[in-house]
Amino acid sequence: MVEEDVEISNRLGLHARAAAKLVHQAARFKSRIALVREGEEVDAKSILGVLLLAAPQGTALKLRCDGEDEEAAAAALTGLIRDKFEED
Amino acid sequence: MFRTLVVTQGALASELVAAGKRIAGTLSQCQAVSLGWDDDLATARERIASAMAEAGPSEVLLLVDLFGSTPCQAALALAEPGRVEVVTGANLPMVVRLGCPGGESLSVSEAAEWLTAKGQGSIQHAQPRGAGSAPAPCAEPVEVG
Repeated sequence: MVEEDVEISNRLGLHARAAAKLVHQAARFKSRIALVREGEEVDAKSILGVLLLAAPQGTALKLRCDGEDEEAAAAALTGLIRDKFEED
Repeated sequence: MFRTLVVTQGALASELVAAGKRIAGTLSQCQAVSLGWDDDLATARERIASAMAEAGPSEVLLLVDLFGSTPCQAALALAEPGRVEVVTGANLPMVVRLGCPGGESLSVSEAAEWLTAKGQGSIQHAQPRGAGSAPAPCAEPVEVG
């Protein structure tokens, strides 16, 4: 399993369109992928789950990838988050 | 693979689909049917049937606004279990969910159950963070059947 600490840094936070981008990216991988905020874990392949995090700019999250392509998944998703979902 | 028609009176259907596309980025298997407020049942049924015919012979999910409304009654008149299914209470989370990965391999009957659960699970009495217990995550995949 791969775990990465990430921070939501785009101005609008993890809003609906950003969440959709994350979910589309996560769905490309076979690994189980989760996001954790303050102990609350959601499936990163579920947009309604990701939106439940209600994560504004500055929120610290843990990205958890577990499976055969966990390294690639973690790299892609941390990249997307650190790239501010291609916003700003 | 099933197709979805969002059916409402007024512009709600087209606005729901437009918002879903804006959020999800794509919504290729989903179209809006916005009926007139004064359309009678026969007209509503004809308009939905016409939109279904444009979609071809595929399985169709009719996502309508209110149970008991004219769109709902017209949709139910066209329902064929296993080929044309009807789900009521259309909301934005349901439409967004259609535009995200996860439901592509479902039959239309399974999709109707899946989307009903998604729509119901998306409604929260929202509280500021830390003011109460966190809502249950909408985990995937949802068991169907």
